[in-house]
Amino acid sequence: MKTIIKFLPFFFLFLVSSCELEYVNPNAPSDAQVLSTREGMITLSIGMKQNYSTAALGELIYTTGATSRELKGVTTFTSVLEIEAGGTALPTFNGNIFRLWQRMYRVMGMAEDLIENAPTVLASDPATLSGVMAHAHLFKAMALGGLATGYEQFPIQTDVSGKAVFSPRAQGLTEAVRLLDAAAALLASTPPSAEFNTRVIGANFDLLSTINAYRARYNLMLGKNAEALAAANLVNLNTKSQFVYSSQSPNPIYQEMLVSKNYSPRENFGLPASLFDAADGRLGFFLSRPDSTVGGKH
Amino acid sequence: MTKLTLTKRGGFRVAVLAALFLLSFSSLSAQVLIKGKITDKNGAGVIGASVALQDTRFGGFADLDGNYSFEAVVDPGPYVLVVTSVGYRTASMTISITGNQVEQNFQVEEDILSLDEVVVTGTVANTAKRELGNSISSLSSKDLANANAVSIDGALQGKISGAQVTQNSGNPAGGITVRLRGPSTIVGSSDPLFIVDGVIVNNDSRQLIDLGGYAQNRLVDINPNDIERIEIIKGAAAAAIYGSRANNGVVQIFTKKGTEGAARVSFSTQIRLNQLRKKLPYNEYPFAFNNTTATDLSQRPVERYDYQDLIFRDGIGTENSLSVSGGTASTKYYVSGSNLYNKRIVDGSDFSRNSLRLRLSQKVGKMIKVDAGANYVVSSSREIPNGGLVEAYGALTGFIFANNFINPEPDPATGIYPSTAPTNVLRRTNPLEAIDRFDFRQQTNRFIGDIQVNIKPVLGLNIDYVVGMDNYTQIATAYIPPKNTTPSYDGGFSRRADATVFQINNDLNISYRTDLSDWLKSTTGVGATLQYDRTNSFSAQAQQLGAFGETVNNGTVVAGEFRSERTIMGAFAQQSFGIHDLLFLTGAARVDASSVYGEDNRWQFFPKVSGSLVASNLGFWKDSGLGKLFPNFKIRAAWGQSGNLTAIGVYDRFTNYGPIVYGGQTGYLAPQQLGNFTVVPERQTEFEVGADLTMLNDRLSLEFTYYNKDVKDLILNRTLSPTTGFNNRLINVGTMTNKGFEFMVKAVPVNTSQFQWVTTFNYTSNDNVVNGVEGNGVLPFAGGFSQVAAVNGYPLGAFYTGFAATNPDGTYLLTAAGLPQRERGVQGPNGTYTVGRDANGQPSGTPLVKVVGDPNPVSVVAWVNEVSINKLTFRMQWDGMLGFDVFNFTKRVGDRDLYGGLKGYEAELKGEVPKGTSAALFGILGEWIEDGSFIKLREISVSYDIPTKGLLRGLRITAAGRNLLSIDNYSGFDPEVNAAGQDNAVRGFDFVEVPIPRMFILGMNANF
Repeated sequence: MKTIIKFLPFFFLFLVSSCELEYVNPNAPSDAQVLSTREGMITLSIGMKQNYSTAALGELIYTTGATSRELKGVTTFTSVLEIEAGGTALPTFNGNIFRLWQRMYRVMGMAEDLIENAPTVLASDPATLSGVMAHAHLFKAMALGGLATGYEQFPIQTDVSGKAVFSPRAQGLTEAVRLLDAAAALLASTPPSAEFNTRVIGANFDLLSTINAYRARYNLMLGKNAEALAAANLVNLNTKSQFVYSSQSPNPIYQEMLVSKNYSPRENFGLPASLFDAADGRLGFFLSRPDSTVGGKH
Repeated sequence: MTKLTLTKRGGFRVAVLAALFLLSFSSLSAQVLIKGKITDKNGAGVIGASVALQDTRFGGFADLDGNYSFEAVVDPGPYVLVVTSVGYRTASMTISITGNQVEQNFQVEEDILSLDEVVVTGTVANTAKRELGNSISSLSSKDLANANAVSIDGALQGKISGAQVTQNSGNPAGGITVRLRGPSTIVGSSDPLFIVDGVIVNNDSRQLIDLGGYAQNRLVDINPNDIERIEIIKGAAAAAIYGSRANNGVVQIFTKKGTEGAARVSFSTQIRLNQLRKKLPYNEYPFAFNNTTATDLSQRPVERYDYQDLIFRDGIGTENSLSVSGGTASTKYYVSGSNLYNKRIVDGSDFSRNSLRLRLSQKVGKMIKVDAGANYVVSSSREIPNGGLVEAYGALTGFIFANNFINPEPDPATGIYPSTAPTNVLRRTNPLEAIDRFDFRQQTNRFIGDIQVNIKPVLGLNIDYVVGMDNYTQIATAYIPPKNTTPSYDGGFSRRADATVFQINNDLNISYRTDLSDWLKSTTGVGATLQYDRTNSFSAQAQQLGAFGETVNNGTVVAGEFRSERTIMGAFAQQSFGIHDLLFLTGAARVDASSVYGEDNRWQFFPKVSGSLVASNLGFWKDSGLGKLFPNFKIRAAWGQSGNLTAIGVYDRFTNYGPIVYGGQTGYLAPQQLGNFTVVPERQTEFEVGADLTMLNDRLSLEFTYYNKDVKDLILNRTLSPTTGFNNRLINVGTMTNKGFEFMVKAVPVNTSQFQWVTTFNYTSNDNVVNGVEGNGVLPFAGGFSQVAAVNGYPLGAFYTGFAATNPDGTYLLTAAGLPQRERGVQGPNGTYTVGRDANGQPSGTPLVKVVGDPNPVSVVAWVNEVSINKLTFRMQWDGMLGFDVFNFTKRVGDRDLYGGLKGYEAELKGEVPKGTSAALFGILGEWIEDGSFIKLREISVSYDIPTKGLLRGLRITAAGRNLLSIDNYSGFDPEVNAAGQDNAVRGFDFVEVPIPRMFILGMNANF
């Protein structure tokens, strides 16, 4: 009997090792943390910008670039072959077509979360609120513009229940312009806080001029030439806006042209020699010479 | 917590009372010495046989010569003395205790058909197999002795019915998948729960570095030579008391223990030769086209190389092990050390395992036994990456994407390796460069330990407490030097990734067995478990390296980390009744909770019931001719439920934002996966019915079982409409069923003292169907290039892709240019479609997809023969899988014009088919499905026992072979393959994985 009692503490030593059933995820914050805090609003703005510049923008450049015959698919992955073939050989379920759609809506979802939650979370900090809202409006507008570049119809609002309603392309662009107008108005009434400018905007990014440049582009796509011209004239030509890239946030064009090598620029970017400007800066930008042969053609 | 404590304290109170009760009795009794000798039919002592005085707690074990003796304190009178020993029939004898000494000898019969087997898995106490309502498979060390597999799971191939065991890769460190009665989940793992000496052991297949899809599964750390016995239960009907982790069945492994007597030393040594079993026919045509233009047929002479000769080699391996065991009546020990070293058939790769194991058993007083086990293992490997599901830098990937008219040898002057791939189109690594310059390694340091306390306070009451711990660190490093032929790492690549895994399980089981009356036996069991595991993983990776130095600090480091913790707790109660030794009924229930799920869905309840009727014990059966025809006849049925609490990741219920750094600022990104707090564990309901019988005077035994496993609340990673802002979400929508039939026949056609022949045949047929996939009813898996999917009404992992347009007579409907083409039309849901034709009879509409193949075998068969003639033992095992498809991506690539290293491209070069045919076929993926049915000569061995004298008790030499032959119609290396490794859903995918080698073995085993 004594022996049993001697072993008793040993039993419980192990049993108490852990009865915890609620572990907090140490690896990443949840939506509850991000969407209800000031830090969450600022850091989600940074995340959205990173995601657009590294993922969504790349898909916009090379998928629609290949279907409009500025670039060409040069590898043998089925999805790239289909994009390169185009026309009826390009099925709706092509992976790249799907990815362009998906990536634009991921950016749009983040922009909408910011637009929805920032007014409450940042109510007592109007300067940061102005920056977060204007920035989110710009990115939602760019997502809509990206969709308008690739698709005939698309929803202009995400819906987490999966019941988003489709709108014609022109309506999407109109919504993008409305968002950009609202963004410009926000910046005009309340300049963003210094913290927002440092952390989210960073160097080499003129938020207002970017907004005006996109106003010009989307108005032009809508055929509203006068509005486009007016917006273009508001762009400050002495500033330059650019996305910053690093090995952690790689340039999607670098990735595509030098790492994945699925696409390459078409000779003269697909233009007849008579229309091609030999000094086209995009050539250098694409870091590659169009010397790949596909199906016997350059 | 409080609940558990109370139960246990209650248990102790019973124990105290019972012990006092017993004490008061024993004062009336006298001490008697019971002894004798237990021999087999040849007169040899049966070592370790257990002798028990029935209905008392007294007993002992036979020593090295078969002699036993023990003291009992009992009243004088008649008693039954029972002898049991693994591998022998149970023998009993009535003795009369009068004086202070009784001598009784026994001769026991070999139990070749395992008729008197006692099992413990899925029951609460040792239970005779004949009393069980569910089927159970078991294996002894003898069954595994000549398997020559590197790991336990590999050794199981062909040995048990109801199991499909596939070696996914020919790398000797494994990559093995075990499926008991089919898969039972889509997003989780269908691996069974492995328990070694009470420790739940981790069997993860971690890809810390990308080796092309291949991964070691961690069961490879356990030396199969240490195994004494394995018990396997295959589904919920048997495994409900394992609750939340039992959906895929349970494999319980018991390692060797010491036996009473002087120290026994056993030494074994082996030398192995691994060889490529089959080479792919390669392109030997001495011309190549000048270009890919269809109309230009001009060719130039080229010299063709057989890359396979340069990549594969004969690999030599050795294995040595030494064990010492022995003990006294109260202390027993078993110590072993082993070393395995195996060179792989791909040049530059190898695997080694060094293992130490200790098992101690100590009696403390009369009621308590404490067992402890410790196993320390270091597994190391040098790897050459192959395959290429994600990364494409592998050696065999380079081989298949190469133009084989390029000499792959490095330039003799500069030492630079030429690119063997068609330049500018697709860059792949020169395979010789991968072998010579890459440095990929893995190392695992692992400790597995257990402490078990067994208390038998009174007759029939058994208290078991087990603490098991499994702790390992796996370290993987990868290095590709700068300036190379890889597709994406010309600047060099370095990576180190570690995973530290800690698991602990505490299990308390209390059982009480009693005779309620002379016709009613009862066994009552209660138990509780608490399991905790923690995984910390870390990785650092660098590109753009300097010219020298292999570690990550030679470049700019990008690091990653993941930590997870999980708790699972549960309790069960089980009650069995045995009525007149005829009818056995069992009912059990288990409750379980896991920290992985949301609070409202955390606790789960799993019941089971089972029954068996031993018809051969009926009076009329014995008296009628039936008793002669079927000396043993049992019918059984079982029903049970179990769960899969582990189907989703530890933090998957949350919407987790991803950290990123952008422009020097930390940000968070909305995830692709939307969280779900309402997801519940998958639940399986299994029903099985079967019979066990013997015929021909117990010379033939037959077991058969029909089962139906239904999984509901199947978790699917639902693809969300991207307009939700997310890509996917885990949700309980699917269902899955596995219906099947398994049987095993074992017979002893010849059984004399000189000559014995035992033959075993087992057969399993399983039919898996997935349903409930939403939308178009198709869920593709990225791990199979999205050409593999769950499709409603089809088995998991069906090959789902485009197919060729054909004429009514089955020939290709060719394009105007005379080339095969993809079928087109209108696509419907669940893989349905309508073919479309335009005015010219050509396909029109969108390119179509359908289910073109199924990687799940219709049946798994095995036939094992063992013949012993005097001192010579001959063993042969054939096993195979029939009726399944393999997706031959290897041939698809190698037969294509751009690469064209395989024989299949020659037809186009010779002008037998129009130029461009191979490229057209390349684009029709459904054309690359092949029947994979195979039967292999898995094991063959011949052993000879050399007569010995003196200290040397036994000396055996063995010559053996493994995977020597495969009978199949498959055009690739081997239809038993999976480039996606141990992936649950993507199976039968052949994409330049290392083929399973044939192995020749010479071994010697000496016992002192």
